[in-house]
Amino acid sequence: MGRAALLASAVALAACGHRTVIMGVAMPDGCEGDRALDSDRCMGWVFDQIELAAGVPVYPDPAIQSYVARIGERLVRASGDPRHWTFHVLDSSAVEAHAGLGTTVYITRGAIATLRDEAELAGLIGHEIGHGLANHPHESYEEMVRGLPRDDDARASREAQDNEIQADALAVVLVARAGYDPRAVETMLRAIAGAEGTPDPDKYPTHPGWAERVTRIRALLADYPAGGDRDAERFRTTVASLAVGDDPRRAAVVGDALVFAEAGVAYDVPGDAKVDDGVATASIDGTIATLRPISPLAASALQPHYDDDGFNIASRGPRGALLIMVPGPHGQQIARALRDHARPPRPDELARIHPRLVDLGAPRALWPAVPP
Amino acid sequence: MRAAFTARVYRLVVAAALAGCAHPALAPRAADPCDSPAASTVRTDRRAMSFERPAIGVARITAIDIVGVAPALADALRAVLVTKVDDMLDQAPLADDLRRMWALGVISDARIDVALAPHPYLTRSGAADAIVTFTLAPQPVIARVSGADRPELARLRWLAGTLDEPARVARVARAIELAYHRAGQIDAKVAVRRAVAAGGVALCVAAAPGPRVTISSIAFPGRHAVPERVLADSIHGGKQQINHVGGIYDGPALAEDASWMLDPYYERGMIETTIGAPQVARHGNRLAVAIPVHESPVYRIGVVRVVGGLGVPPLALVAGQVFVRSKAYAVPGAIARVTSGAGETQLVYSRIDQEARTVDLVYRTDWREPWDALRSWPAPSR
Repeated sequence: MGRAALLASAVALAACGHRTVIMGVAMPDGCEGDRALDSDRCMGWVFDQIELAAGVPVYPDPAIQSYVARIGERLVRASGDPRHWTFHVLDSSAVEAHAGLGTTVYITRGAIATLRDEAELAGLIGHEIGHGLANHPHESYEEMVRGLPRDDDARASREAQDNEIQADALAVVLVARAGYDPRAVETMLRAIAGAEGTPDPDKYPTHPGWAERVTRIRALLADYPAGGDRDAERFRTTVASLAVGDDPRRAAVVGDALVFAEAGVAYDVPGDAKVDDGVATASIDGTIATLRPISPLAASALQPHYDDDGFNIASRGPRGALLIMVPGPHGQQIARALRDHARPPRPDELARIHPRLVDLGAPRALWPAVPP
Repeated sequence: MRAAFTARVYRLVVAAALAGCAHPALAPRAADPCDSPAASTVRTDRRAMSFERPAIGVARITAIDIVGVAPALADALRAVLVTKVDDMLDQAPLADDLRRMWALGVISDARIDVALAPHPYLTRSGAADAIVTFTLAPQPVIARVSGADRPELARLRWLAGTLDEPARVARVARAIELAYHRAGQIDAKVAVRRAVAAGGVALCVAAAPGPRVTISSIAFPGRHAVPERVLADSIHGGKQQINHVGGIYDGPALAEDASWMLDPYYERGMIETTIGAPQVARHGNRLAVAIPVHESPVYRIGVVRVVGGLGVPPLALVAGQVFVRSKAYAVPGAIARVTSGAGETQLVYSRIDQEARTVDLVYRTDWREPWDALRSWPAPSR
């Protein structure tokens, strides 16, 4: 995947008068000139633009986006933090969430699909807000920019795990202050753990084991009285239309065509084609071409070029764009041919595309299977 | 039948915590915990587990109780125990259980009691029935954080409501201290004391940011050949007010700039010049920075050779000239221009003769595809 190249193309900082412009969007007030790189607020905004342009796209459901933002704002109000926070739901089936530098929180639709009420969703968002309040993204960023030596990996791992524990605890604090049932943080953790399985400590040196996290949450909850909102019905009503697994609206194989309904573009590919988490591959004359939805902004910044993934070129549709990457000696020829033969999806193709919606009544795999 | 008496013969006593502090309920309370340190300082000492060996033969565990913590937490802790009902009573797994519970960071004190019932010699199996009781004190919660009203201390405020983790508190305080230092407040100290408070412990923060200490002058003792302004301009950080007059001092950043300070010397043939460790003298809130320069003699070009498969015209470098690094590095580009890109040139060898004070240079020029087919360059005249 040419993500590195795409990022490099996306980070096109251009001075426009006194205002720095990134991907055609002017930086916020107070971030002009040299000050752009001096504060978490400004750099957080830069990273957010890059993440949205070149990373996983935002889930195209305004109702769910605003729902998550409302919960996030309720938690921020409860925290007393005066800053403006931004919340994005990303269009990925992976179960993930993270806090950006500054005051931005990202959560995938895959993570939301593992939850069953608003209080659990608040717990997940509260965990990420907790990272931001405790300044954890800033620490990581500072280590990166200052090139701080990481000569003690064991210590770094311990600190990263301690950051997770603190974020869990702050999730309990924020959720309770916002009027939700803080016990939802425990069920949220067990639901995420059930979806992910038990992490291997060697593979996840930045996160403590689930047993430790759940036990620590229980220790904190002992001091909280029972009660608080769960808001299961509002959650069910709002996220009932949430897609789970691969969303065929992003990319789907329909007959002999690769159809990108959201972008409004299709390609006839008579060879083998498949889609994995929104990224399509097609075999063309024995060469594997990869087609990945990207934002129109990223497409406008991308110049055709070769990199480790082969020849990269952008292909635009009326509502979105694709990054086409083709390796090999004929990469450029095949990629350009694909781009030049892009067509709008036919109505009969669109009629065959149905996302699988979340089943909120289905039992879920809470970790551990038998509650401790 | 549950124990009628607590067995004096087989008593495991875990005297106190492996880490952490006493439960706040054990200590006297103060109205404002941070105002009365003597009465409310939380114990943070560390004592070892101790076991008394049993005098009896064997006992089988018939029940395991966990008391002193909330039922939900007790259930969670029970799940990590190695010791199970029906196991034979043994010291090693019980010690292991304690370690496992400690590792979770949720208890501050623990004791194991074993009660035997009804009498070891009366049971059908010949083994006594043992009831193991873990008496735990929960890790206290940070109930309040006092003295952390400054915006830069917000990270300490956000420890409120979390379990008290002394290592985390110390790490956060140290990180804030470092942030002060990086902003030029090099005397800054952030100290955190614990006191017992209603609902847990109070963190009493005492932050003394101190004044911003700035650079009053930067001198380069030993400098003669290069203007002072040139050396000062080779130091980075001017826009951020770092390592410049009026700005703050950043030792590691200045050390990285030493190689930039050498640049003008390499352009003057003084290739053995070294930059010493900066000497910083403090006068109140001002710092006088001295960066020692040890200038070297001037070196001249010795032998210059070009090897490889490509013939090249004479170079601009001539033996006896003062060595200028930028000119030496410009040779590959100059060769590429006269060969129209047919060759690729690298500086493959340089030798410094400290007695003769000369620098020998060897370049290698190779044909580049597809020009390597034209090995007859320069073309013979017809």
